[in-house]
Amino acid sequence: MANQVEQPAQAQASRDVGSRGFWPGFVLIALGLVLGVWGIARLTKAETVDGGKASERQLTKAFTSGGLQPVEPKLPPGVSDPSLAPGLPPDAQPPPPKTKTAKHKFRVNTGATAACST
Amino acid sequence: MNDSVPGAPSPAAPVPVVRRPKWAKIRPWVQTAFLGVWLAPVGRWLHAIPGCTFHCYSCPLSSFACPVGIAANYAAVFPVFLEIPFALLGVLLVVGGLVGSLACGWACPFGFLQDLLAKITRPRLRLPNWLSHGRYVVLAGLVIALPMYLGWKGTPYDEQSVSICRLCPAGALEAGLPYSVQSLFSGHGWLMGWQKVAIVAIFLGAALLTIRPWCKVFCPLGGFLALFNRWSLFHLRYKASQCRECPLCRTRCWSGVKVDTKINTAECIRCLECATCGAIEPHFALPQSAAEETRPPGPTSPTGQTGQTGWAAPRRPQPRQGSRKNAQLFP
Repeated sequence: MANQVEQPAQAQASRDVGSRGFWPGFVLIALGLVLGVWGIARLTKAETVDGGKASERQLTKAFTSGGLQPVEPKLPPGVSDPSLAPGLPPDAQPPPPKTKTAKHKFRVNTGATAACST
Repeated sequence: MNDSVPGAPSPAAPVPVVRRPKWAKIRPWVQTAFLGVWLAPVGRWLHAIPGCTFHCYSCPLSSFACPVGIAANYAAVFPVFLEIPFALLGVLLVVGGLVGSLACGWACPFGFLQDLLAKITRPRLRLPNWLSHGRYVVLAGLVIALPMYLGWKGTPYDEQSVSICRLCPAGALEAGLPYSVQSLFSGHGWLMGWQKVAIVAIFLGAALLTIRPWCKVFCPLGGFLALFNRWSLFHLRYKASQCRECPLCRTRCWSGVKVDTKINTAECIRCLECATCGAIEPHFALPQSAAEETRPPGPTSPTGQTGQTGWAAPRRPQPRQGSRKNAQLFP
């Protein structure tokens, strides 16, 4: 098999010697350390079901354990939803208009242990 | 009278024989040791921390979170939370800056599985190099753009019908298959859909035909880590004084990297199979060695020949005595 490989006409002096400096790699590692430590410690904009903000670790854990729960609007008892058309039963309500941006919200359930649905 | 031309290769100078580590023999053991890290059941608490290798976090024994799954999930919720996975970026930058794609060749459990499959059939089919750009298509399309678009449209990642997690053979093999077998034995039937079964079958068939098909063509994580190959502290270095100008390094590289012309490319997974003869050797950049390597070429090398970056000029091919492979290469 070795004889089947064509030997390229390559001048040895122009070969890539692969040498490199220390500092580009060091800067990458330092940047990664700063980002990693800060990312693990910081709080995200996502809210938890218990109230408060979820940390990035909790959000990551929620991805792996089905912990993202959609937020459903809660109305006080006796107050009808203002988005519903008056005089129509809930089954006959027209579909909500399509929005151009993402309006759905999630909360992070830090205690979820569900298996991945995918 | 000395009629030798300065700078010309030295005729018939014996190449010193140096005992080198046999990377091909060490690598499976290192991969096995890393398997113990990624599959540690006691490490379940590390699920909140992204790992640096391709390993499904739905696997019952996984210890870290899959970086690709985390990136896709973050992309899906980006239109809602505008969050960026800083911890994931940090982990990947540290690993990339430290070793680059060495993690693929020596630590990735899914790569190890493909290596084991390749030992069954000794596949000979080599895929063309341009296919490795598919990794970036998967990274940009399936991992970032599509989940972000569907998330923007209001579909949560779990409900997206097309996503990297739904198409991933690692997920099907490491999570879908164990859970389906468990469900079958407990009387609840088979869980995996036919699409996942087909993906597993195609992947297994491809891994028997060619070496590491997923890594070569599809792996978004490998593609991302390979971007750091040109800057990472760990790297491969060509040593002209040890080169016999044989095609051994290129022959041994299953990735199709033209090692004898360029090393540390994005296609390389740093399995170190090419580092057998000593002309290409693994090296770790340190501050003092960086200063040494960037030194301009001196007038003469220690052997009295002009060389590139202080290394000696290349020598003529010299077959080593008693080596069948070298005898074959140098008839």
